[in-house]
Amino acid sequence: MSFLTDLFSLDVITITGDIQIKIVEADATKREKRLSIVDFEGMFEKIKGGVDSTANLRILAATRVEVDRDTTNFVASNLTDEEIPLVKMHFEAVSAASEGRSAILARLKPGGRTEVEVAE
Amino acid sequence: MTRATVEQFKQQCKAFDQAASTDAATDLGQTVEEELPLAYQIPYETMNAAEPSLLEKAHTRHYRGLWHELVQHLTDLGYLTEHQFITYHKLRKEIPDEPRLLLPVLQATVQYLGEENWPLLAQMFKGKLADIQLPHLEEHLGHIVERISRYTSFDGSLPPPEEYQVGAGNCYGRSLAFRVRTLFTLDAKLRDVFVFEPSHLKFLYSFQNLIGLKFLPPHPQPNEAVIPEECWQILCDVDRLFDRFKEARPEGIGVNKIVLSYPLNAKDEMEGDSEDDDEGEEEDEDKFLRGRERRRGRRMTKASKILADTGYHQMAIRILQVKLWQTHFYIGAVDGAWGEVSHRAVESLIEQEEAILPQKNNGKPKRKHRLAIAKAFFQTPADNDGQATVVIGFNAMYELLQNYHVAPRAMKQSSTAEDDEMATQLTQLHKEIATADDASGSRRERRRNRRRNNNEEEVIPDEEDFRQLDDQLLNSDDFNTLYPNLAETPQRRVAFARKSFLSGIKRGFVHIANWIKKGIKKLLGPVFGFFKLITGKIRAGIQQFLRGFRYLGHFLLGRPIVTFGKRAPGSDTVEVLATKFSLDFDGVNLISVTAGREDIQRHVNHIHDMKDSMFYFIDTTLSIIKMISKLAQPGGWVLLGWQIARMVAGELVDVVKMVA
Repeated sequence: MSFLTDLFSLDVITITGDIQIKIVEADATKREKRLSIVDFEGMFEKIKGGVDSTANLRILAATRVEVDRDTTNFVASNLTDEEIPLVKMHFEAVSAASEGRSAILARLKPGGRTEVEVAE
Repeated sequence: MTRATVEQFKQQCKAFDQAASTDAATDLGQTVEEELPLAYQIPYETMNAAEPSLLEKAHTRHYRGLWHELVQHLTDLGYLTEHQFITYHKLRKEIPDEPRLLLPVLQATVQYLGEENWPLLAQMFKGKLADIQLPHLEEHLGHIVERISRYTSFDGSLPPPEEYQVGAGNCYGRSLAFRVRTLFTLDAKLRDVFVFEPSHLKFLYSFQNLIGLKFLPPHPQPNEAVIPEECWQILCDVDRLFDRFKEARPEGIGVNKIVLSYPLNAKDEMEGDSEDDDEGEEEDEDKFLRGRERRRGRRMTKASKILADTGYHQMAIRILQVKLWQTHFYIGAVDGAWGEVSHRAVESLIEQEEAILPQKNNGKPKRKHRLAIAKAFFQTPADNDGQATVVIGFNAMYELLQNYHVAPRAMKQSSTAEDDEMATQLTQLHKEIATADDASGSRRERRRNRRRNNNEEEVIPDEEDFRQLDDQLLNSDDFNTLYPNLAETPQRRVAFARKSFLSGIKRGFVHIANWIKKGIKKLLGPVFGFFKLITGKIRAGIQQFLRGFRYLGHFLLGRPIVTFGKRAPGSDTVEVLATKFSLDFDGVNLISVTAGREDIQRHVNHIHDMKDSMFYFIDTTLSIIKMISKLAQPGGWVLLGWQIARMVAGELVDVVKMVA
């Protein structure tokens, strides 16, 4: 039931902080796969580095979209110039999440059509 | 007449059907074999459908061309005067309506046949030669032209005579006079000599001295002089003559030094060359090539001065003119004067050679081929006054021409065999006719009688159509290029591809093959580009499909997508940008605060790519599942094929739009 309740809203949160990965020499070949999806643990093991975080994380922006499209946005105050692009990225992520959910629902709907069929 | 014959034929068929008697069969046979062919034979009445045609064995020519050739040969051999020749060509288009205009030609032909020693002649024409009429001549025109052309050709088809005394007024005497006149005499008095006399032997002596042979006896008695076989062979075969001519060149002069040079007003060519100079990339090569050509041209020009104004040089020109005439590039007189017509002939040969040579991508012949042509034909760049110098290498030019015409040396042997075969064929034919015909005469005679007895009113209806067709063929302008206005230039020769037909076809095929090769080269570029686009699109689709599969796996397992920032020089750390979506697409972004704008944009693209690829994978998979599920239906495979075809067509349309 909680999953269904959660389906009614879409939450996207953006957290920022000084998050960096230490690189050792072995990373030269591995970094070619930067854009691929890897799990943190495996990746960290492979590059023999480690997450170096100051643990000084803060929430930069958060968005909740209700089922009736009511939307609540939270944006941290006193944004620096470097953080403004991050806010834009946050809303891009919201847009992507919203589209993804809609697409999933469209396909789950009885008689829902795929893009291939729509193209036909 | 036609209807009566058909009706008669029908009735006889019925009679034969009712009672298959001998009489009915005889009547029907007579109608079918004798009456019907008169009305329905194709294409000319003179070509008897029931008898094998003599023309089948002759080289194929068109009707009008046969008459033109006959007139030309008769004139060359002196049976027709120049005045008669000109008159013929002035009035030739009126001949179909007024066949009497051919009477001088008929008389000249009869005179020629009277001097001819041809065993077949007695079988072709029964009775006296003086009784030969135009229809008889027309019936055997092909063979007569073939026969008489041997006396004026230079392809070795005329065998040396078995018995010929200098001064004899027969075909060989006329042929010898023609050859002396054409090939090597510089004496204008000989222009009107049509029978070789003992007094003309001095020309043959100078000829043998020129080519370095001693085939004539040192001090012959004029009345007993005999032309040796070797002399005949050289006079009748221009290839043999040229071989001997090359060997007899003056001492110290190489074969490639036998050259002809002459000035040319080349303003037009100069303008054309200046356009070529602007082509940029080819400029260096052209300069290099021109440099070599110029040097070669200078050498050849210098060489041409050594032999200029000598008898040897004059003969070289005549030999080249004969060869150009043989290969149909030249239609002028073989007179040793190198003028505009000769120049155009050589130019058209070179143009044709350049067109069929293998070419580079820029459409120009390869360097080695250009140099090979330059050995035969070279034109210096025009000076400021537009004057250029053309240099022709005789040997190289002759070799080029050999590709277009190879004299069949075996012709001498085969001609005898061919005559024998024809004689056998004719004898057998006449025997059959004599056996089959009754006292009333042969079919041919009956047909001729019938023709004579027919008056104008009895002309069959279709005959008028045939007459019009004949007129159209005979007066067609399509042949004007083959037979130019000879009335104004009587010395020009008509030329017919007697022996070079196969060579011409071969060269034509080479031309076509090069054209196809060039076309394929042009076509291959766009075709490969098109397939590259298609395969690129297919590959991109497969990659996105597999990427979507991996994204979906990570999405379902709750793994984040991560983008690493660019590593700063000298730094051992990279920025991390990570986004994790849960199953209901709730998202958490964990972004390094020091990430650059470029890294952020890449991460955004990464998120969108993840979404698009994932749904591409889902959609494709669902479509495949749906399509497979349709296989259970009747005609499911057809439906599946149809759907796949539509998908492929849709992709192709996209590719085409992209190309456009």
